[in-house]
Amino acid sequence: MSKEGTMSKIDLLQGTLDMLILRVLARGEMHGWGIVDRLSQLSKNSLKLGEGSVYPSLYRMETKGWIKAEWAQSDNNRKAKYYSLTRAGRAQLEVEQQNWDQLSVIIAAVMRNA
Amino acid sequence: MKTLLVRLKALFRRKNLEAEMEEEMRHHLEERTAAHVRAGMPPDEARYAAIRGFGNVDGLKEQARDQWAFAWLEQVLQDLRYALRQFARSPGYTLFVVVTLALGIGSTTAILSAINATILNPLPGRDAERVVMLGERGFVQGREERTGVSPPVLEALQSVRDHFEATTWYESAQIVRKFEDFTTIEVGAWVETEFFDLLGARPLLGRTFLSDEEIVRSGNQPEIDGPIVISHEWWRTFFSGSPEVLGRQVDLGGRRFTVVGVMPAHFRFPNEGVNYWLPAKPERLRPGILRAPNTSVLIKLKPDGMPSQVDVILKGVADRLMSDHPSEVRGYGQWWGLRPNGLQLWHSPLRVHFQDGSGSEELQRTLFGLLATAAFVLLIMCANIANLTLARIERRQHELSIRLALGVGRARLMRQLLTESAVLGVLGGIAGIAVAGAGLRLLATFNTLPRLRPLEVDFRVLGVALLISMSTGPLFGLLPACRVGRLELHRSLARSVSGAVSGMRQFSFRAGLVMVQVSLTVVLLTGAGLMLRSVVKALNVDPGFDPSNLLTIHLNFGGAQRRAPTESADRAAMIAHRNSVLAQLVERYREIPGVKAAGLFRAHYPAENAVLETDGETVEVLRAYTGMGEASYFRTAGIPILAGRAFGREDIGVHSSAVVVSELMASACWPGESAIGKRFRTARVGSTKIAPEIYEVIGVVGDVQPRGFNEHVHPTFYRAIDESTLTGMSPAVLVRTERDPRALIGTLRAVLKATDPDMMLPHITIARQVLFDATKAQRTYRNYLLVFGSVALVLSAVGIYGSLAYSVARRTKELGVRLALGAGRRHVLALVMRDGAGPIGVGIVAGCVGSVWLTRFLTSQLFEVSPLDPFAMAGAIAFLLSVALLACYLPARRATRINPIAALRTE
Repeated sequence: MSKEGTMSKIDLLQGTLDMLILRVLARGEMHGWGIVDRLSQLSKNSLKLGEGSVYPSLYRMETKGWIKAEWAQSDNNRKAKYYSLTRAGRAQLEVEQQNWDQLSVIIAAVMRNA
Repeated sequence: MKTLLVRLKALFRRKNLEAEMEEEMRHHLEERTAAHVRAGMPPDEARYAAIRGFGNVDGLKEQARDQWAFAWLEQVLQDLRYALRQFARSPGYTLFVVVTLALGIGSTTAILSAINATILNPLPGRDAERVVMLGERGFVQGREERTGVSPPVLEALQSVRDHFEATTWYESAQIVRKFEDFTTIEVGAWVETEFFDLLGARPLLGRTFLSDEEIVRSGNQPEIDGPIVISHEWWRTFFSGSPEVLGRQVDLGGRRFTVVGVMPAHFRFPNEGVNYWLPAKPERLRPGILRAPNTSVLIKLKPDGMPSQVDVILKGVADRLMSDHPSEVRGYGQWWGLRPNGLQLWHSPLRVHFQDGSGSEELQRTLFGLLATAAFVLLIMCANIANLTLARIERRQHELSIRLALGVGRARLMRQLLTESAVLGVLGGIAGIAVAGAGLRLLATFNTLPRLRPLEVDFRVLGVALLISMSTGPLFGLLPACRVGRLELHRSLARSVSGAVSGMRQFSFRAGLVMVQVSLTVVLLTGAGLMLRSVVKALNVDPGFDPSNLLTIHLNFGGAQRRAPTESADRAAMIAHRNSVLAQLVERYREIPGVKAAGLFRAHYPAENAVLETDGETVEVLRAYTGMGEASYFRTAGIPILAGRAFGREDIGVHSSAVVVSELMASACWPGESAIGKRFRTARVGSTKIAPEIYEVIGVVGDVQPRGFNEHVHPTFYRAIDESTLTGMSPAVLVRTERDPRALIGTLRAVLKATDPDMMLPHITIARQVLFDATKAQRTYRNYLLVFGSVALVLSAVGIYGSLAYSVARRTKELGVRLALGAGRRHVLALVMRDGAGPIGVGIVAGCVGSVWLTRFLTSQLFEVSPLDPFAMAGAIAFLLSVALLACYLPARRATRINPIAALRTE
């Protein structure tokens, strides 16, 4: 993969990836690995989701205030950083969901009738 | 906003966040490994797979860091640290640049600030433009003059005060004070209570006046005790600058005054010698007594007030006054009726009043001369810095190329260099403030005008100067640096070429800079040299007499003289008494051991017209009186008698017609002929009535300038002192002593007191001191020029030398090659010198042309020195040539001395 190519791919997905992560976190708090694991399960491993995209997204959303992080004990009694949605995050999730729905309708219409 | 906060937090808790991130990544990795193990992989493979799957950890970290970082701020900090390290590595360069900057910025700032405070913007406060001065158009000695206002006008102005924001007035005060056995007159000002507020002047200590503290007075003398505000000078002299001065007492005019405030040192208003201010009501007048228009009025216009409105208001006031005081009735009206246009009031902004002050024209010229010098120094400084920066970048070519190759990006590199320039600029600016402060203190010593604001560093000026200097480095250094990046990359890395070829392209740019530097220096040194020569000539002007060990005692007959009797018999008695006192005094003085000679002198005012007998022509002259014989002023002062003789016994008395004229008068009245035997009569200026006495010239003496070249010389004629009248100036006794005249002052005073106990404290001046003080401005100017000139000399020399020497050093390898190939030492030397001579020669020629053209503007400043005077220019050229020669010769010699193989090896 050329450096250029990787960049633009991540760009395109960045907004969508944010939305996916928010959706996952809507169910409850989770740590980084948990999010990656869950997303792979849900998408049946068809999405190329490396930590290289997830973590930056997490950090970015934390900066924006959509999610917050806390250190807590994980299942194996290890310290892990758990992320959870904030109120702003929930609102953002709704907005993103609506946008996505609208977008898919528009794209489908264009593809069918162009 | 939240983003900002997070980033700020990140900035400070960096280590924490990094540790957390480490921890998180590690946890993630472990989980992944665990998942792989659960799926059946052996642990090692699982770990390996986990790492591979995880991806680029460091890249992740970088991205995360990007999220946190104030990216640009961190880079700036990094640049700063790097810049400081660079400076530490070459302290000489850093020091030189900072000092250069400081001198250039500091001196320019000082001069511009001074010009601002004294000429452009002499009044403090934002409302200064609204302060306006008023007065009457008076008729003084046949000429129309601007005076203050008389009491009825002042009263009438009070009635229109609502049209203005504020009104105030002030008068000169001359109150008697006791000093040892004598009484003396102290100069101050009577001011209305709002005076200081209107001017926006704040006291250094204490307060100014309250609205009901006025002191009742009559005849300019106070009648009751009250508060007083004193000047800085008085505070230092009488109270030793003690902070406990408030509440202490001052005795003036027989009354006791309590100090309520002290004004700062720079506040010298309404005139330079004002010692104190007293709160005043308008003076109580006795009916029938007309008072001269001595009150100065200041008004502050309302924010939307216009000068034309003031015209209308004043005209209204004047018209109403004239109808209230008809000219037929004895009183002010009569007075005003004598004026060509009746009562007229003038007004002008206070600032104009400042700028028109006597001597300010000279001050302006001086300041602008200094400004030109400072500007040149600034330019030379810029050229220096540009050259230095270029040279440094050339030297760092290797380092810069490597950084470029590593992928730093040219923009980043530029920013790095910019940061370095900026830091140097800031350091230079800070040092420049110190220089400016010192420079202003120096300037304050010869600024003798009334002032309202202190000479202080104007930060706008500082900012501009800073900006200029900070942009020079990048401007001249970065342009060629752009080329460094692209073309020289592989060359520098390969270390193959000596840099002679690539250096040449840059060298021509730097050669151009050297040319500019040289020509600027030539112009500056020539100009400064001319001004210096002019000042030195002015200071050495022959004053026309011998000032060594010479004292002048200005007598003050005091009260007795003031109340001159009107009866002629009494007048005659008074004159006789006075003459005998003078004769006794001179005799007694001559008897004092240590006194070589004593003579009498009295100036007379106003000027008169000498009406020549030959053709009735008139020449304006001054009359003066001198003692005769042993008591001759000419003898004592050492004024040469150029023709004829001085007064003898037969020349005293009203009936004698003998006069001695000054050289200037002789050449003005009887050009080309001998003045001896010529006759003339006198008439008052502006009047056609000629006095009956006929004067005959018996001798011609030299002209005198007790205050040095500054003093305007008038044609003068002298009469024997016996027949002087009671009005006019007080007589003076000149005393020449064997040794230091200061030692005898006490004795002279004592003898004076013994001879005439009624006399007031005499004002004693020392001729040398008077000359010295009068030329204080010139001497300070000279010193300033010397300092500036030296600074410019040093700057130029180091800059030019450094630049040329560096260029030569860069060619070491090339020279080594030439030597190795068999060129003679002398040949190589000649080559180097020739190459160096090029830009210098061009620079000198350009400089000469430039200075010939520019020094034209100096003509008004120059005293008996032509702007094309060759000495100054020759000096400049000689200096530059020697510097250039050294700069080329020394490193070239060093280069040729080296073993060619070693030269080839050098970088």
